[in-house]
This record gives sequence, C-alpha cells and structure tokens, in this order.
Amino acid sequence: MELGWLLRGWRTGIVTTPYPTRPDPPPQGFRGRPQLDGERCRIDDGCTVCVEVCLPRALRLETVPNGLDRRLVLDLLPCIMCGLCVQACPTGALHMQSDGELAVRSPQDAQTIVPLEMEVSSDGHI
Amino acid sequence: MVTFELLDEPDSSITEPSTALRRQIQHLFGRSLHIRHVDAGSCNGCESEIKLLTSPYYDIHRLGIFFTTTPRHADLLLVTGAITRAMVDPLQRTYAAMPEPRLVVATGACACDGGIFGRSCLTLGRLSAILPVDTYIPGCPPTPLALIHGLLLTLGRAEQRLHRQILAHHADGKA
Repeated sequence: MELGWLLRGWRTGIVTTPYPTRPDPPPQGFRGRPQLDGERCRIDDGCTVCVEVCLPRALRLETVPNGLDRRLVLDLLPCIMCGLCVQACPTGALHMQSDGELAVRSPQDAQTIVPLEMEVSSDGHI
Repeated sequence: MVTFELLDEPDSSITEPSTALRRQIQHLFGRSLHIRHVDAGSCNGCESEIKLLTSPYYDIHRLGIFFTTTPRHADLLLVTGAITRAMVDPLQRTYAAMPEPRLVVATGACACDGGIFGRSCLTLGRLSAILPVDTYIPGCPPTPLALIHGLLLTLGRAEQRLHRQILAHHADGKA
C-alpha cells in the first residue's frame, strides 16, 4: 500500500509552480487587466461609453484639482476585470492583458490617466 | 461604546512607511513571515484564492510564508472584503494586538478601493480609511500568483510591475 503511494509520487514528479524563480504563464483566455491606448481613445470627441458601462467606477472622469481640466482615469484598484469596457469600446482603445502581477505600494501607481485636451480661450472659458 | 477615528483621505505620513523602516522590516521578515488573515465582509472569492496558497501547487511555505491563527504571532495582516462597519472595531483590535513592526496588505478590489460595493452606509469601501496599508493587491479575486507577487513585493523580494501612466492623447490632433 505504502509502495503504491511512493510510486505514484515518483511518477507524478514535482507539481509545485516554479514561480517566482521562473514565470508561470496564465491559462488561455485569462483576463488580467484592461490596458488603455491613449492614441485610439476618442474621449475628446465626447465618447464616454466605457465610463458608463463600468460598474465599480474604475473608469471615471475626474476634474483635475485646478477645476478647469478633466481627465479619464483607469484605476485598477476597484477594477473587477470583467472586460465590459473592452467589449463596449467602439475604437478598440481598450484591450485585456494577461498580466497578473498587479500589486502596488501606492494607489497612484495603479492609475492610467488620459488628460483631456480642452480648448481654453484667453478669458478662461472652454 | 468603542469609537474609531475615520480618516477621510489617507494621511501620507502614516500610509507611507519610511525607507529606513521598510528596509528594517524587509531585513526582519525577508525569509520568515506569519500572516493573519481577516475577512472584513468578503464574498469568499478572495478566501478561496488565499486557501490555494497552501496547496501543493502554489505552496507558499517554500517561500517562508505561513498562516497563523492569532494576531499576536503575526507579522502581516491580510484583509479582504469591503470593510463593513461591524468589522472596523475587530480589525483595529487585531491590528493593535500585533507586535511591531507590522505590515498591512489590502487584498482584492473591495479592500483596495471598494470594488463593486463601494462606500455605503454599511461599508467603508477601502482599508486605507482605518489602517495604514503597505501593499494593495487588486483583482476580483486576485489569483494565487498575484497574491504571492503582492506578498513578495511587501517583503522587498519582488519588483513592482505597475506604475502610474499618463498617456499622450490624440497624437495626430482631432480625428
């Protein structure tokens, strides 16, 4: 009986992952995190589909502390990696990456920011 | 009646440990760390991933990381869930019972920044409102590999992959 388990263990070999010495590739179709491509994003033209569809408000429009400019923020901390924004984006500016190592020391490091270019006239009005 | 102080915005002086302190902690806990896990209103998704850390496949014992059942033996507080108001006092007492220096890790989207629950009359929405957080591990739930990376990042044994990105917008002007 004991010999059977010994043989089984010998046949199976080591099952433990080599991570972190060597990378452990994620399974196929793994949704790691959304990645935003600023050049394809059409937020300047008034497209806010991803902001509307995001349930935990990981994608949001924020007002910059100076009170004039606005920006699109993709915050990975509340993100649940559901992929709805990727499906909704009409220009393909968002895609899912299979990158799983997302831990950060400071919340700001989890943010991707797209500043909005707004035409501000000389008297300060948009 | 136990009262607790609620920080509206996390104070950078307590949320950011000094470099010297961090180096001392990494020296102390680099090869041996005991974790106390507290569920503060989690859906059990994070717990099922944390449970896998001690399985033969992930096996964090080979990295010198262990789970303990009492905060008095723990070096690191691993918190999951959207921090319900009922769990604020137990969390603070757990933190107070831990010997110094101590580390705090927010695990999952809920503990990091509210996740799908957010801030409400029942939840604080983020751990940094009551405790100084050393590392945030986002994900809903984070995979065991992400958890290992987060723990090793806390100990200074791994590199942070994500950094704040500010993207250039409309390089070719208006479409």
